[in-house]
Amino acid sequence: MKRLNPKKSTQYGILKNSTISPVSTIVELFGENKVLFSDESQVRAICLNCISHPCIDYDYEMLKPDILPGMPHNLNTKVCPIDSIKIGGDGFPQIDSTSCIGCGICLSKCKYGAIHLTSDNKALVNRGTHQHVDWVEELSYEDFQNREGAFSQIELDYLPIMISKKYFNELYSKILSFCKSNNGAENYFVRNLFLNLGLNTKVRVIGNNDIRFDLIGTIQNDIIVGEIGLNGTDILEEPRAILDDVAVLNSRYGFEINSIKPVIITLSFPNKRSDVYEVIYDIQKILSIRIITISFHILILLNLFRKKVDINEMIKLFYVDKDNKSILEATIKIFPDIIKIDPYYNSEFYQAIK
Amino acid sequence: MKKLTHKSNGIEQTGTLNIFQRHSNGLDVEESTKTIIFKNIFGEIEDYDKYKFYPLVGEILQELGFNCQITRDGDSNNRSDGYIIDEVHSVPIEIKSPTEVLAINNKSVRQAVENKVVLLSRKFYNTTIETTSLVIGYLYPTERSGVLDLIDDVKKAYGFSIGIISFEALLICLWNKYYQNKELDKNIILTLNGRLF
Repeated sequence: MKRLNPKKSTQYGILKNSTISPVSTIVELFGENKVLFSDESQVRAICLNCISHPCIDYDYEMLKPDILPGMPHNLNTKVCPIDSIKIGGDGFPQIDSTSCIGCGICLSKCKYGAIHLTSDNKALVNRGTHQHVDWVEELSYEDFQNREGAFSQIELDYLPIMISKKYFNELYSKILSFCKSNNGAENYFVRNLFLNLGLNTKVRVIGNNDIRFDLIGTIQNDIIVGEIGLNGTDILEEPRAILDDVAVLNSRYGFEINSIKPVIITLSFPNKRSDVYEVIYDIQKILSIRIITISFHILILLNLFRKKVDINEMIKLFYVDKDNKSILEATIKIFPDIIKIDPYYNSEFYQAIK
Repeated sequence: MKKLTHKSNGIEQTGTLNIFQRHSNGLDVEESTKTIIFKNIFGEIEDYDKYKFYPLVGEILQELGFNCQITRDGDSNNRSDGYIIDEVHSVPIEIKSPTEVLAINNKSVRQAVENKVVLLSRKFYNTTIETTSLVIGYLYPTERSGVLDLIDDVKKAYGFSIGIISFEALLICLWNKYYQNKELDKNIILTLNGRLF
């Protein structure tokens, strides 16, 4: 006779002793992270199981910045653009290692540091237990507050290890391949990376020709408008598209031109001979529109290392034109360890090289 | 001022016959045969690529009395496909052959805006902010394309005039000049914002 297994109750980890609190997470990136507690013990970073699972879904409100409320935009709340992370049968988040491409977007969403990349470049939710955790089936508000409060104060120590070129090569190859067969996916990747950086933006719904900008959001009193070109788009199209975006935002929606901060998000910088740098210079000179260029690679790295950056600072620094075809120095200013961790720091991900 | 160098004006010399005479198939070129001759011309050029279409546009503009240059292929520093060169009001021209895109679209307008910015910045030829930046294509855009809305947006935001001219409109101007003694007022072209007619 077939026996029915009783459904397991979902469990939540709580801190056993409120006087011993987590102090810092030591981020290994390609390996299990560790948490240092105030009693100087060091334990594995494990999933304590959230109620709302921020590693799976964004808070719906984050996807609705106030700007252009009538704009039809992508309201998909999923953190993983590939949809590889879901709730498993035991109520804990689980990553499908077959489909996961290792982009790391989910990593920075876990405040417990429980998600890391494995040696084969797949994200993994670390499970298990340690001496500072008790498991309960019902999470009281007090325990919840205690746990959240303790981990929200935690410092992040990452080990500045050099990431392999293979990781990036495989990752970008998979992302480009996914974007090729999923219209609009590149916008979705970028939106999620920006959300993780703390910039609430929305991206357009593919197929709506009235809304031409790929991404829009607000920073204080300014508007950020973005054109995303990861898929080998003709790079010269991007400044043209920006001119279109700014004209539409000014003419139809009444935004002052000097309050619009246009951004191009590209996978790699065009070579030195490309006229795009001259065109960006011309646009700044004639229309006083300063177009910022941010590489997708930098967004990926900032996310992997859970960096919170001042977006305004980024906007000020990341300007390239015919007189300066590199954002390497700008990147070092906001992320000094970049040359220790990125084998591609001297590549077209940061500057025109050929 | 940095001037562009052209080995020639990029416009093929086609002898003494004008475009209507070349496509008359033996008919007298007059008002009564206009429709047939236009049909003959469209029948031939609908397959034209950029290498045939751009010089043809240049030829017509020259016959209309403009000093027109077609940009040599591969000149990436110079974004425009051609120029009307004038002492004060030079005009960048974005040309779209029928095999590139059948009707003028938003992308063409975007390029015309960029052409305007580039010309103002790099000063290949004299121009003013008020002078138009042209798009010449095979057909006018459909209403649904939003091209005219974008042209309005550009005017409001940047003060730039973007003029669009279909190949048929260009031919009509030339026909009027040759066979109706109606010379085109050049200022209409030099300051055009939106459709010619």
